[in-house]
Amino acid sequence: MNHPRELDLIELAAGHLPEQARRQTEEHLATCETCHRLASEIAAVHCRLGAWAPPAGSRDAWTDIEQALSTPRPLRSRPIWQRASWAVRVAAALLIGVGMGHIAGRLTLPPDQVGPLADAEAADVAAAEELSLHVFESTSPSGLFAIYSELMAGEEENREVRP
Amino acid sequence: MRHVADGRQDALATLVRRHQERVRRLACRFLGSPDEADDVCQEAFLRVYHAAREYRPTAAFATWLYRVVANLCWDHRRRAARRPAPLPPPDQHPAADDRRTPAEQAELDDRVRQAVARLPDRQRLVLVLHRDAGLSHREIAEATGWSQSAVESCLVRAYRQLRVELSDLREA
Repeated sequence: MNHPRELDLIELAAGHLPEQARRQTEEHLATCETCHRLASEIAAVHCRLGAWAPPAGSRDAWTDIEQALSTPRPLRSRPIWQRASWAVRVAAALLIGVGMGHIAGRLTLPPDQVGPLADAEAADVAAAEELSLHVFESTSPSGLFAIYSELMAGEEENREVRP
Repeated sequence: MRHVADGRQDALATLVRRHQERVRRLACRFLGSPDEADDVCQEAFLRVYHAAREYRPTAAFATWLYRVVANLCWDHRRRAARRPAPLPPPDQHPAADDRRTPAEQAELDDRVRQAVARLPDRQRLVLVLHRDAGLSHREIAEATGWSQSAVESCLVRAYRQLRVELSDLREA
């Protein structure tokens, strides 16, 4: 035998059960004393809650609302998240703009001109100049033509010197 | 709501007059104070007025309104937790049952009111939304932001407690 859940009995008391479920539940209650007693208790609570009338109000809602609408809401009365919202939006827009500009700059600049890498490269260039390594600079793809030229120039001098 | 969004106060007045009694009853049953219920009722419709432009008819207006009311009741309850409000005097309770004398009915209403007030806040709110506003479990879940299973659990536990507390008042 499938006993209905307490929730089903609450829904039965409230009249919210679908038609088929309601019929099945009532058929079961007609044959099961335990469930019938429980359903009666729940229905009594449901009925008692409906019979309880809260005290009548002394104020008319629309009168209060109309008066409140006619009085402009001061800024201070608004929640802080409303007052700060415009400032938050401006700050967020600035942050996004600066961030996007920074990222765009990093992407467009040559790698050797970016931050610490540029500093390291500058130091390398200075060292290379001091060591006269500029001779290795060449317009040829392999960079070897200048080296070859220098070497060949040196060989020719040696040939002239040797007897 | 479109008219309210356009700033027409006469449209808001229509909404207020149509729903204020149910809103007030709901708030009063949850908060237990008529004055606080009036405050919640006023604030709820003011919020409806100021948020009318953001309202989207994806659900019934009443469900949306009860969501606002539920949140306001919850906030009021949180603030009042430190300063328990005194229960209204019994003589303010109107007679609701012809078979009883006014004094008996007032006492009965007091018993029910106190039993409901002793429920945990979540159970009380779910009970009021279910019994007084007639919302389904899904609608209560939407109004409160809780899961449907949590709503159903609160409802069952609320009824269990009330069955115990009001067992001597059970009608034949």
